[in-house]
Order: sequence, then C-alpha cells, then structure tokens
Amino acid sequence: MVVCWNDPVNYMEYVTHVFQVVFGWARPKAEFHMLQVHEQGKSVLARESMERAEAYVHQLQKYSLHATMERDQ
Amino acid sequence: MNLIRSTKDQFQFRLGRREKQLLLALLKLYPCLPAAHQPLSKTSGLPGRETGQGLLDEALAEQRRENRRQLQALLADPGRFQEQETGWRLSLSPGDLEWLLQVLNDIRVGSWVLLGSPEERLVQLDEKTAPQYWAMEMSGQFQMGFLEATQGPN
Repeated sequence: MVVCWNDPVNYMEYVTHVFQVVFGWARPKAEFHMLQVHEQGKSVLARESMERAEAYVHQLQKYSLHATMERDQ
Repeated sequence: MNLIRSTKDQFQFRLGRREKQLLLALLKLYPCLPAAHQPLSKTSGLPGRETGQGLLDEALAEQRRENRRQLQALLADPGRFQEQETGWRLSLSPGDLEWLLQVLNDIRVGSWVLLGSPEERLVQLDEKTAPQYWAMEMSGQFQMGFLEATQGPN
C-alpha cells in the first residue's frame, strides 16, 4: 500500500494539490487524505500491486512528499 | 506576485522588480534536496526492496536532470519575462507551473533538511542558517502564489 507521512514542512495546500494531480482525485477526497496525514500522522492513499504502488511513490516523491510503500497487514 | 490572467493554456503573473530578482536567486539554488533522500519503504524484508530503491533513485535523479534542463530553458527564454511599466509579466503553461512547483518544493524541503529538519517553525538564526531559512520561507511564498493560480475561483 502507498502511505503518505506527516512532516512539518509541506504546506497543506500543496499536499492537497499533489494528491489531486497524482491520483486524479477531486478536491474533497484529496483534502480528506491531507487532513488524515496532518492529524493522524499518515494516510493510506492506495492499495495496489507492487509495481503500481512503486509508480505512485515515485510520483509523490517527485513532489518531495514523504511517501513510502508498505506491506498491507 | 499576482495572477493577472489565466486561460486553459497559459497563466500570466505580475511580479515586482524585486520579486523577479528574488525568484531568480531562489531558482538558482535548485536542486537542494540530497539525492536518495527518501526510502522506498520503511518495511524491512519487502520483496524486491533493494532493486526498487535503485530504480526509484535513478528515476528521481532523471527527473531532477529534466527539471534542471527545463529551468535553464525557462531562465534563458526572453519571452518568459516581459518587462512592464511597474515590473515583469511571467507567462507559464500549466505544465511549466507543475514542474516549477516541484522545483520550489525541492528547494523548500531541501533547505529544511539542511536546517536539521526542525519540528518547530522557530529556528535559531545565525550566519549559517539564515540563508537556508530564507530559501525555505521564500520558496513557500512563491509556491503558495502559484498554487492559488491552479485552484481558480472557489
């Protein structure tokens, strides 16, 4: 699964924008996940095959977000 | 910096003379983030993790080279900045805006990393930390200006 982690440097507006661009989400869904990152420290953004998850992590890291791929427990 | 006009294909911003100087000085700092800054995964023992990490580092390095090439092209293009009576007009396509946001955030996050990744906003300023703090704050200011343009009227 693709996880985005909280950090104190990325602006909330920026994180929302990146989620919209990378996942093609509408603003409310992007804001929901951004707030989850902000308030809970992380958000699971996608559950995908390893290949697709890697591609998403690459896209998110390209925007300097703190994103990783983790095993779905 | 203000958005003065936006169409499907182009954004036009007005920048004061000093703002243009600041933006150019800032963009010269790219790239700021150390290479291989982030892991692909925090889970140890994930199958193919090492190969995946190598591919990710390679892809990010390639992306950085491409952003740098586009940045140099933008700075060398005389049509991008047009002088006006009170400052400059900057024209950007939506694609330009997207990679410019990546570049500015690399500078912002990279400066923060160089400051020691502080959890709090307040940083002890001295000769060494002031330039990095300036770069972090200024890139954030320009980022927010460009982001407002992508969102349009609410």
